[in-house]
Amino acid sequence: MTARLLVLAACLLVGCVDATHDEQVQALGGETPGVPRGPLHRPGQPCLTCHGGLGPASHQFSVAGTVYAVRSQSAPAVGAQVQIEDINGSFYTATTNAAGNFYVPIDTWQPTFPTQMQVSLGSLSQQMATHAGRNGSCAGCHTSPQGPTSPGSVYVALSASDLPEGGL
Amino acid sequence: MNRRWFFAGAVMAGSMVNAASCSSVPSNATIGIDAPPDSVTEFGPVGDYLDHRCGTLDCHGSSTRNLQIWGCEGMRLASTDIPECSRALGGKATTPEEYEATYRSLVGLEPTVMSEVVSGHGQDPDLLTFVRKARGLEAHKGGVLITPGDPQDVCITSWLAGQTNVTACTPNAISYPQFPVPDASTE
Repeated sequence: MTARLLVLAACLLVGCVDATHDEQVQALGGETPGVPRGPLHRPGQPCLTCHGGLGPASHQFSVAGTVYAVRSQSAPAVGAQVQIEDINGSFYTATTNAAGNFYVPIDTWQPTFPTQMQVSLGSLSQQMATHAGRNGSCAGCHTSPQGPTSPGSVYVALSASDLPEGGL
Repeated sequence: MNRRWFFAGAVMAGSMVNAASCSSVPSNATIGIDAPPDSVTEFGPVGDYLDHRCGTLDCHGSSTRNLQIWGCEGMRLASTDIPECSRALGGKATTPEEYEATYRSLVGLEPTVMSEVVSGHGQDPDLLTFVRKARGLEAHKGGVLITPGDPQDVCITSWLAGQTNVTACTPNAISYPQFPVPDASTE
């Protein structure tokens, strides 16, 4: 009887494993040496892979991503305002941190997709040309380099010459 | 031993029959089904609407989906193109090849059902899974997108009926998804 219960428990456990999700998490690789887990880690990665509710991260986000200062460059846009609007007209504004990361805790605001976004920093501003249909991870689509299936990373300035003197 | 030779002979004979029958079918053979219009004039506006409404990179603008939508607002066909319609930003408009790729993906989902719908002049669009999903009659991760009779629905159903209502398909006319005007009090 005990053995049968153990087998049943094992089956239930295995049945809960999402192999595809596990592969997606594994594909992200390890942490960057010297950068602890937290708000500054893993810039440019699809945050909701781990923070989307399937784990392994404990903090769940509804929308999250990384904003860069200049298109196709790696310097983060620090202190940028990310304004997200959902189809019902609900707004949320997040601010990027020192890594360019921003995140919206799911218990703070949860949009009804589709959403549209705008990032701004000082006098610079970029409006997303299309909309997000259902994915709260910016990097789910915005991967680098730009190509047939990616518009490239999220940025606030098209070129370095757009930046104010002395940078951001 | 006799039984073994009998089976070997039967397998060989079967293989020869198969080879003969396969080689007699031309590689470009098609079956006769009714299909909706595929010209850029008639399908183009439908393709543009689908690209705008359903073809974002996180939805059907993905080669991993059964329904794959190609166009300048999402997934591009040529390796040198980017998801951008504006030439000023390095992009370019949806190409005829992309319209064709979307058309083939859409019509190829349920070709025999599509044939039935088209031969019935689009009277029963709900027979098609993609219409049922868009109308919310079947589970759809993207939610309910169209209501029977609204411009988006007319865009699709008029095409299925063989007479594309171009006005209904124009993104500027239907402005979907329509985000409300920003209101400072809601921020």
